[in-house]
Amino acid sequence: MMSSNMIKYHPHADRLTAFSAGSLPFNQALCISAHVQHCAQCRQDLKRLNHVGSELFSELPTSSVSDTLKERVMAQLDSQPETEAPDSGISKSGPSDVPRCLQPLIPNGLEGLPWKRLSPSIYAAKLCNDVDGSKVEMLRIKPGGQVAPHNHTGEEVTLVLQGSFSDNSGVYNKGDIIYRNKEDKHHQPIASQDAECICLTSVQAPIQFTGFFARLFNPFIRRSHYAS
Amino acid sequence: MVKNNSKPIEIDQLQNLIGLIATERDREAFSRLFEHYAPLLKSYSLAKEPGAYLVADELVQEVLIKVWNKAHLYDASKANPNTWIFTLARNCRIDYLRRNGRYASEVTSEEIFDQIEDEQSGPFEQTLQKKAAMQIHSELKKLPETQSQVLRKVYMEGKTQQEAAAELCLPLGTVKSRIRLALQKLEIVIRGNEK
Ligand SMILES: [Zn+2]
Repeated sequence: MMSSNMIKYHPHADRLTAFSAGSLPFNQALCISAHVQHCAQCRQDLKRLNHVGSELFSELPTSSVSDTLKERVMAQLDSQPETEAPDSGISKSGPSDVPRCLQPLIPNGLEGLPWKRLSPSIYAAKLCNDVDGSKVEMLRIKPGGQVAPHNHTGEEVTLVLQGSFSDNSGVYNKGDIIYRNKEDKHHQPIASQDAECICLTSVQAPIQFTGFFARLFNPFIRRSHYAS
Repeated sequence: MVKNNSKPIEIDQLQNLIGLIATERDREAFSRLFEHYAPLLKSYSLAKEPGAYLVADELVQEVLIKVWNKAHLYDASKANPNTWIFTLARNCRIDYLRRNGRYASEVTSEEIFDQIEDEQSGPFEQTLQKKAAMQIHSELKKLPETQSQVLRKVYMEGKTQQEAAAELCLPLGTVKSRIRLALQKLEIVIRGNEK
């Protein structure tokens, strides 16, 4: 597990709760899972939160289960494999720069993604669309590169995987998770000067661009939600 | 009908049963575990999709077969049996919804949760976790109904916070603050520093 010393921005308690409950929209669960892999604090909190699920579960009113269901399950035991190989968890290692939960989406590592150039300083690669219309993509911002100022009509989640970026409210490093919604006006991220910044982002609904040039670029931008 | 055992099975008995399945492939132990958990699992899955009886049976079956196949991976120092079964059920339910089109992605619940939950804690952290589990066990029952109702919607019914807010006719902010208040009482210390 990676060190969490640098991490300053965590998901709020209610989001971590929804994650532990399994009731978070999938795109957001992906971002939290990638954060938690870097963050020992949130891993500990999550273990506590699982106890909440466990207690509520064991207090559920019981439902009646038919004997045929039991017979069916017992009958299936014979056809199960002897024992599953001890969990492959860590040994099943994919590209080392990719969090485990993203490996099925990034089988050939970050370099192997179909990066599309959005501007001289920004590249984006789409990872998946969710049925609710949200979209998960990777962003790659050259050192000092700037994302066009934009408002959010839907919620945007960003997780820093490499490098760092800043906006008018702070500086974000590897492992930091950042939420932005429509109350956050004219959010304009800039990558740090010393290194390329790679982020995982998920957007709930299309972002409205506010700058004049951004609007000019809009048809072009629509492929991704970011450009400069 | 599978009996809903009137006398409760103690946590350490459940642990023993899982151990017997792991080491002896003991069907009698499995049968007892089935009788204990199947009625709970059925309620858990029904809570999500009311009236979906076939789905519920499918989920009960899937979770308990996982118990049989993964019993040797169960580690009592990491989770008590209820917590283990809860996480298996939660993962099965997520994957069931994914297969049926609510979520579109190749990522499985195991890939989202396993690496996080499999982590081996040190002895100090284990002691803290045990204390936390006891605290949650005793304090959860004392929460005001308004707070535990929201937790049940989110954990058992699998509702998003927005869905819970709509069903309870509450603003989203109220749902969030009830969750946070409940977590404070349960002493699940979370340093939310969200930006
Ligand atoms: Zn964290």
